[in-house]
Formats: sequence, structure tokens, C-alpha cells
Amino acid sequence: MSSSPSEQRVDLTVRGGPGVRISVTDASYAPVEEGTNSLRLLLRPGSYAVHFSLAGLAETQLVHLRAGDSPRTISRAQSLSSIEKSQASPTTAGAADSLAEWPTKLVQSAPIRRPLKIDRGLNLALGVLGADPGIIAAVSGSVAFVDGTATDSSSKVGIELSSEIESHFDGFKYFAATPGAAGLRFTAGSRRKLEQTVHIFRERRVFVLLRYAPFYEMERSGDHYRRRSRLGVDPTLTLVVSAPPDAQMPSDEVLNLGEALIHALRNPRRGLDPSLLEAVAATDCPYLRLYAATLAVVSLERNLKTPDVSLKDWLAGVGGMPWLMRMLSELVQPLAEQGSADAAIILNEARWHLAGHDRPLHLFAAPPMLDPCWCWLAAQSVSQPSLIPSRGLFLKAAKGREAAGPWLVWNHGRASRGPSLARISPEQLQSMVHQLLDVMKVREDAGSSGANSYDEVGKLSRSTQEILKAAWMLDELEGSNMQAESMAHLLGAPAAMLQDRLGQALKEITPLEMT
Amino acid sequence: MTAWAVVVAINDYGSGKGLSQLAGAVADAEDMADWLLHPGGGGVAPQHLWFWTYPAPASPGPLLQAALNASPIWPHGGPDFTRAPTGNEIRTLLGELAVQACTEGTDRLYVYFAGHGAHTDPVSTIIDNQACFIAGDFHPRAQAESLVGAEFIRMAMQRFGPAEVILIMDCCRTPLSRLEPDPPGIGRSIMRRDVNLGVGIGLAAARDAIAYETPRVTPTRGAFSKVLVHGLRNLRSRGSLSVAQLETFVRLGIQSLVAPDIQVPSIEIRPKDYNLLLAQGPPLDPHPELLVDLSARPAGEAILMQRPDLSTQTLVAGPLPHILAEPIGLFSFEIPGQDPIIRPHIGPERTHVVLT
Repeated sequence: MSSSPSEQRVDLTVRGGPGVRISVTDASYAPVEEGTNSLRLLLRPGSYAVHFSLAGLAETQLVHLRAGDSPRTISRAQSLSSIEKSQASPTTAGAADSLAEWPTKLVQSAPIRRPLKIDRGLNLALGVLGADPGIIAAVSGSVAFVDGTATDSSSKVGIELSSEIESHFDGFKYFAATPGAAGLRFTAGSRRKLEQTVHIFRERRVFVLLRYAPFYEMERSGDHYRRRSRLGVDPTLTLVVSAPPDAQMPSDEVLNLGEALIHALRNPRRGLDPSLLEAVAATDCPYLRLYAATLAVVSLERNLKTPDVSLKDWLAGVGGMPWLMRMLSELVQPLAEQGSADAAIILNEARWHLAGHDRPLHLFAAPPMLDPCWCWLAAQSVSQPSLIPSRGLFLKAAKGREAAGPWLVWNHGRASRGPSLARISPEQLQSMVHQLLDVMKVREDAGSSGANSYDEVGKLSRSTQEILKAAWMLDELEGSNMQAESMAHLLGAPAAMLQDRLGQALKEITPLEMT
Repeated sequence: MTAWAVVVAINDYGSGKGLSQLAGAVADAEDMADWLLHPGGGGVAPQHLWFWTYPAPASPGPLLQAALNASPIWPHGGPDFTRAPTGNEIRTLLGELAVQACTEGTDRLYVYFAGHGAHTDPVSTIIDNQACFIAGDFHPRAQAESLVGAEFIRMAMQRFGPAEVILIMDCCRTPLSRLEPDPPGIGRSIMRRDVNLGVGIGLAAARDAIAYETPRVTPTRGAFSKVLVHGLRNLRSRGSLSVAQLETFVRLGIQSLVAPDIQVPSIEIRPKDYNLLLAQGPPLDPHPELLVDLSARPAGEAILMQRPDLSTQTLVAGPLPHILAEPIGLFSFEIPGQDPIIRPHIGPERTHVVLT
């Protein structure tokens, strides 16, 4: 006996790719099924909307199934990352004006699939990622690589510029770099000269892909303000990935996963999808592994600190703590053995959070690449001050650190000289944090809106405003158990700098209390 | 179910602030308020709608007019339709209202904003970056005080808000300078109550992206609100509307309004597994019109149209279009010898389908 057409089912396979969430809705947009990576469904004939999403990026396809159809397969039509770029593409008049600067700033772009022969020893490629992921443009002259372990501004250039090949065909500039830390210097849209670490791994070709974006600022014009835009490197959108040493380009999968992970690190609210962690473990790109492991530990930390998200559920979803610890070790232990500061810090932090182990003292040649790793290091410096030496790049990073999404970026123009940062005991710091809180509490209890009052806070220095912000947040998260380590972590300030900043904040706030 | 609502919209931020005049925010707020006040919609009683727009709505419908007549007072006074509300006025209201709603056993609180917006980028990964509504006291030299942050609302509502909270923000999420301090929090000193079960958050655009007004040339509405409210009023599956259903509908519907630009809205629930029903009962409006133009097809050709409920109708090609009142959803058209053509029928305006 045959079934009626409406009772028949059509076999539909939906392929999204690693970590891609898929949801299928029927013709009335009612949910039918959800899953990750791929789905196989037996559906009644009719029309369906298939929605792909990955770390906030999205694409929807419509499909119609007829009774008697042979098994169907649909896949993502295009890179999800290109959708993000489209949606984020500037459309305001100011942005359009600034985009007109492109031809003067960038050399000719071309599709990247040209069969170029690049010497295997040129292990570092620098380019600008365009709106279409298939297009790479060359960087302007304001971007350079320097010795990433240099201790002062007069250091020699660690990468011989003579070995650079500037190719107008594939858009990349190539360098021969020694494995270890390299320093990337560039001018951001804000016109500030910034610097960050890029760790070069052995037997990999590293691709540093910058993005130019409009930077907005308000400019006074008589009694009015008008918005001005300027095009420059947006450090929050930088992507660093790698490929085998003779590869011309990273694979699409590595690019897509890299984009998704950087996006997720910029916006870690949703945590890490376990399947994404597994997908990354199946690749050989060390940068993806660092990003995924960092995201996992950030998720863990957020779950511990933010009470509305259940740590238990999250861990149950990934197979428990032993699974997570094994996965993290598998991902980054080999990278730590290659001298990656990020990898060592991630492992330390994970072992401390997951298993309650002490964090061993590692001394690194250069600051880490990723900002969460720097913040963990800063927190750890409360009990182990020598972790962040008061000299060289560490001092520059500590003094000139700027928020740049997932990256630790510092202003290399800021003076690195100055008094050596004094050591301070955790107890002294703890006492200062509580002193600060007490002052704030007195003000709130007194019935004023206290330091919440913008008029008052607005008169304080930016550093003190940041400290107050951090104190309010920690008061909410940790209450009276607030730790100096948490403050150091939140501010990304090493112990010695934290002492200095807390001292100044207390000086500024205390007179307010008296008024 | 008892529900309260806060609706705030600003078209005019004043000159010299670098914020353009908007055309549709107040109209969006009126539309949203009409749905909120409808007994078959949000079910909000007139005395429980805190409504403040600047300027005042030009021609409020009867439901909104009744609510304006019964308007509750804001903590610092207002609504004052001669100016836009400030960030502090909004935050204070939200804090106090959440507590009051909780105390009085109100089941649901709706919070709706339309106007300009921004997205913060804080230093630490512990603090969320967040979409923010820009209130009337925006000043380019001191932006933070005017910001009302979506994440801070969520945190506040989960700590001391009523059982269900639905927050909608129809505004851009253009990146805020990293030099700006974070927006102020909400109700930091209010005790935790743990009544809240779930918070739904609808945002008009992706991070760093623009929320458009529509139509492109002489805009009258925000694209997100227009599709969203239409979906709230009329999109149903077996008599109810889920968040997932509305999100898919809005994502598809918004594209037809903003093309060739792209706008990707989102609607999420915290915690993720909470089953938040947005509406129940029949659609509130007549079905929108679907115009099918078959004039380019051979006269007399039969084309099978399939509705979202899988029922079918044969349309015969001829010089005149078929104009049908149809429920919103995906429609497919089978032309002999070709693959089926799928067209979303979104509404509320007539959908044009031309088969060549």
C-alpha cells in the first residue's frame, strides 16, 4: 500500500560546515529541527527555510521538497564571513567618503588563486583582507614587522626588510622571520601607532591579514559637532592564521574558522560551541587552536563569575571537566613547547580553574598575542610579580595597552621609560581594593547617587573612572570577597601598576567623600 | 497573563550632536504600542503603558490615545512630550518598574526602544560589549550617560525583574569609541529576587551594523519594527508564535525592505532553553494581499500554488494578475517543466510575484 503524497517523506541533508548551527523552519516559519555542522531530515513535501549561523553570522536559504524527490542536499552557498562583511559594510556618507581613499592607499588587488611560487623560507605573509574573502590587497607603508622581543625603541629590526617580496599579483608582502615572537607595528584609524606580538611557529607559513575600516570621531565646528571618518587599520578585525610552509594561502576552512573564532572572542557572550572546539582540534593551524582554547577558558571563567549562566550545564554539554582539560592540552600543549606565551598562559589558567592547580612561574620573552592571556598574566602577577617585568615590551604593553578586541595591542609611541615598578604584596593590594570599595559604599549609603553620578565621575581622571567601573562590576560579581587579582585581570594591569593606579584613584575619590 | 510595557522612541535628538533626524522611530513606537495594548496582542492595560516619544505621536490610534489619557507617571516626572527622555530617566524607570512589577506579580514586562543606537567595546572579556539605545541627553563629548545598555537591562531584569521580560531595540549598533566609558548600570543596589525565568532580546542589526529605515527614499518606519510588529500581530503556527518563528520571519522579511543593503536582526532568549511564547490566538489583521502576475506565461497555462499550510490552488495564466488574500509564509509555484519557485509572502503590503 503506498502512502499519500502528503504522508511521504523526502530525505534532506543540510551541510553547514564545522561549528555552523543550522535551524530549519517550515513554510509558516515554525521550527522543525535544529543542529550543528550538518543535519539529515525526513520531511514532508513543502517549502522550508534553512538558516545557517556561526558566531553571529548568518545566511538563510529556501528549499522546496516535492513528493517523490530523490534525497536532496543543500549546503551553505557562500562563506558566512562574507555576509558579515556585507552587513558591516559602511553605508553612511562619511564612510563612503573615506572609502574613496582606498585607491591611493592600496596597491592593485587581485584574486588570490594565482599559482605563484613563493620560497618556502618566506614564512610570514602580510596582507589586507578585502570585502570579498577571495581578495587580498597589499598594506600601505605604515605597517612593519620588528623584533618582537626588543627591549627598547632602538632595537634592531628583527626581520630583514630586504627579504621582503612585495607582490602586486597576490597582494601579500612576504618576509623571512625567525620562529618566536615578532612585533607587528601599524598605524590605526585613530592615527595612533600600535604594536602587537605575532608568534611565528616553526614549519608554518603565517598569514597576518589586516582590515581597513572607517574610524569615526566627533569634530567641533563652531557650536556644532560633526562626524568625521577616516580609513585605517582596525586592529579588532585582524586575523592571523597559518598554512603549511609552501602553501600559497590558508584553506577556506581555516579562514572561516579563524574569522568565526575572532568574532566569538570579540563577543564571548555565547561561549564556545563544543563542536567548534572539536573542529579546530582536527586542523593543524596553531592560531585556531589558541583562539579556541582561549575562548573555552574565557567561557569557563564567565560561567564561574556570571551567576545566570550555568557552569554545570555548560560543562555537561562538553563532556565534563576531564574532557575539557584533555581537549585543551591536546590543543595547546605542543604550542607551549614551541615557546608560545599564549599557550602556556592558557594551560596555566585552565589547570588553575579546572583542577585547582597552582600556576607555575613561566617567564616569557615577549607579551602574549591575545588580550585575555595578558589579563590572566596580569592577575597572576599579583602573587608572582616577576611574571611581568618592569622593562622592555612588557612595560610598554602595561603602560600603553589599548583594547583591540581579542588582541593585546599597545601604543608603542608611549614612553617606556620611567620609574621601575615597585613590588607589592597581594595583601597590600587587597587592602587598597577594599579601601576603595569602602569609600564608594559610604557615598552610596549617604544617599547620594555616589560615584554613579556622572557629573562627579566625569570630573575624575580616566584611569580612576576605569577603576570605579571595574570596582562596581566586581562588587556585583564577587561582593565583599573581591580579590586584587580580579581587579588586575579586569583592568589588564600588572600588580605594580595596579598599586599605582589604586593609590591615585583613592587620592582622587577621598576628597569627594568629604564634600 | 498580566503585562506592563515601557515604550520609548526618539526621532529628534536636536541639532549639533551629529545625530541625524529620524523619520520612523515614533511611528514604530505607536505601532508597537497598538499591539501591546491589543487584548489579543500584548494584553497591556492602558494604565500600565509607560510611553514617551519625542516628538509626541502625531495621530495616536484609539488604544494608544486611551493609554496616553491614563498615562502613569515616571519616577522623575513625565512623560514630557516637549523633550526626549534622558538616559537616567529611562534607567531609573526600568529599575523601579522591574521591582514594582515583581512585587505586584506581573507576569511580563515589555521594553521597547526606537531611535539611534551604538555598540560598546569594553576592555575586558568579563564585561559584555553591548547594544545601547541613545537617549535624549546624548552629547558627543559625554556619550556614556545617555546610553541604555541591553546587557545591563538583561542583567538587571534577571536579578530583580518579573517572570518574563521582552526587550526590543530598533536602533543602529554603530561602534562606540573605545575611549568612552561604559554606560551606567541599572539598579545596582537593588536586591536580587530570582523571580525572572527568561529574557527575550530582539536587536535590529548585527554588531557594528546599521538598522535602516524604510522606504529608502522617504522613510516612514524602521524596517525592523515594521516587520517585527507585523509578525507579532499576524504570524502564527497552530495558534501561537515562538521566538524562533518570529526571528526567521523577521530575518527574511527585513531583507525585502532594505535590499540592496543587508540588515541581520536577532532575537535571542536567555537562558537559551526557556520557552518564551510571544503571542497566542488568531492573527489580528486580515491576510495581506498576494499578487501573482502570470501575464508573461502562455495564456491558459495552469500553475500550481502551494500555501504554507500545504493546501494548493491552481492559477491560470492570463493578462490580469491574481490578487489573493493569503496568510503570511512561504509560497511555492510550480511551472510545468521547471523547478518550483519559492517566494516569501511577508506583508503587510501586497506581495508581488511575477512569474516569467
